[in-house]
Amino acid sequence: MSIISARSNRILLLYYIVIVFFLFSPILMGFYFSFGEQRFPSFPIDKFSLDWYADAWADSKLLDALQRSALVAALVAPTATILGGLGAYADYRYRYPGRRFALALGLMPPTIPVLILALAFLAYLSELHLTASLYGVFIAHTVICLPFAMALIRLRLSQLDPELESAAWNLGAGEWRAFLHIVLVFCRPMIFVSLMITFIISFDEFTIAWFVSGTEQTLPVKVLNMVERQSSPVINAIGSITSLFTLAAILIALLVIKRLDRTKWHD
Amino acid sequence: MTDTLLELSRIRKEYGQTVAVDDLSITVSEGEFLAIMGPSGCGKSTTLKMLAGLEAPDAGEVRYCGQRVNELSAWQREIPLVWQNLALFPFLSVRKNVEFGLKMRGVDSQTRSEKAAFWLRRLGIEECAERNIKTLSGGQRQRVALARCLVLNPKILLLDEPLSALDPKLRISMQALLTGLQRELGITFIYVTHSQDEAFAMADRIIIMKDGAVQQNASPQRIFNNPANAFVAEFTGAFNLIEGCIKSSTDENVIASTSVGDLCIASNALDRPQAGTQVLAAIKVHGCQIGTKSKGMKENNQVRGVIVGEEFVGSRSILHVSLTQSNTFKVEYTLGNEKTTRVRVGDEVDVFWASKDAQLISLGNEVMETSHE
Repeated sequence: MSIISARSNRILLLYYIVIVFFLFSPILMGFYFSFGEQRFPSFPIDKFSLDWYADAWADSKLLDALQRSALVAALVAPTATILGGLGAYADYRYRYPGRRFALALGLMPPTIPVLILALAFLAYLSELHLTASLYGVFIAHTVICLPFAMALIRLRLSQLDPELESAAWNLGAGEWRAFLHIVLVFCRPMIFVSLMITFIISFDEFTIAWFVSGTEQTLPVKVLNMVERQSSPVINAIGSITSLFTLAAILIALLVIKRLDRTKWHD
Repeated sequence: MTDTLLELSRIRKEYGQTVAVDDLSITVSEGEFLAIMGPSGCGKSTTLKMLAGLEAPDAGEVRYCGQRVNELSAWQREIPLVWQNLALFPFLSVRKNVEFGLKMRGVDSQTRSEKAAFWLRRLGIEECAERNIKTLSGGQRQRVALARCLVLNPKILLLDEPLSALDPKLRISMQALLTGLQRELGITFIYVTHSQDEAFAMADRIIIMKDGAVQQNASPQRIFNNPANAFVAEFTGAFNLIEGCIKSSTDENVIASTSVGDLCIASNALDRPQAGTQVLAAIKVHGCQIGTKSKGMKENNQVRGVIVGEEFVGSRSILHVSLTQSNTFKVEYTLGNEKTTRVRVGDEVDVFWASKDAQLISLGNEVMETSHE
């Protein structure tokens, strides 16, 4: 047993549960009320129904927005993972002038306030005539997702003994084949995690999409649109589904990362 | 006379300001067990990496069967290396680790499997074939690393301190395995180590390096009997060294005056050093004894000292006898020996040896002999 007594462990756990509940209660409430029949729900719910889910499914504009979000995310995930992953590999393997600068640049986007980023993208993409299009959203999302991919793969590479690549060369594998059979295989679980995380980030991203997407609204933008115009529990239904989806993806990602410790090799 | 298989010619390697290897020339013959030995930082691992193509020399040539191979990349060279840290692929099973090199050569799955099975059996680890390497013991992992290289049927095998992480008992049995394999397969082994015991036990020829330069290149026996310079003599741990000044010389012996008195040293065949030359006398530890001198003894050197330490090495021990403030001699002492009485740390004793067990070495570190036999 650790130095902390069993009793203070319990208090700590209770405190932790309370905080988590507090943070998640809006989502939990939304989830709860999405099953209520009434338009302006009261607590507790009298009649349960799945009408709002049906309404969401019937709204074609909503489905279009969902499709756009999914499409962009599906393209952003592999792009950000490949670019970020290769950036991480370059940093892992080589020493070159500007290496630190390149690393800082690659990891920088999350440090910039998102509103400023969004305005910057709006200005830049409008020069390229890519605003009010999904291309613009794709580019912007790739930029903000890339640091996550880079950080995740960089983490995994730090667990890879550099001698393993040299050993592969020594055994007859050329640089490309060694990369394929050793580095990529070793990083595979983390590549999967990166794809999931970048997908989620892009899918849920609101601010930049709101500025850049124009009439080609992504799902979060459409939802804000709906909230502004009407206050319908359909929003609860949408929120519940996307929350579950996001939560599931993150949980899977975390489980994979935890399992990775078993294939770590250090000297 | 066996062919020269591999040759390093005037190799130089720098890392920034540091010179790792300087004007190094080595030839390696077919079928020999060569050990490259030296203290940390002497350039031995760097030399090995340059042979494997993992580092490029800044000057000089690497020649394989007479052909220059500097430009051949590591994966073209077919000189596998057993790494100090083994460098086994953690996400592959034992069998897939062993098959890796064959797979890179495009060997088909069936043949790969057979060859891997053969070597796993040969090295006694076939039951580990499908296991993850993390579940293996140190000795088993060693064998996987070996199998991974041997399965490629190489002419030359490089080994970078492969046994340094093993416990003593395992190390001895692995040494036997390696020497046995080398003799049976006729592969040239180039074995880097900092352990003098390993090199002397296994190698046909030893190259001792210091600060990137070769100090001596000879058989273990020759190094033991005729160290080329003070560094080599000290490195073997088999000699007691003491500085002196030549007083006189005859055909047989040389008299040198030292801080512990006049010593009688066997002459090196050709050299007759001038009186007044500063020299270093190297006296074989093996030839030193303690006790009292009796009449008719062949030993003609005797000095007095105090025992300051004792090292146990099984049935014998090594006594450290302090002769003067700066000179401590090591003397072998066998327990249960009739001639010697029991002694303890703190006792005053006489150390004596015959002049034939002493030889002169130049004071500097320049190499006196580079020939090898």
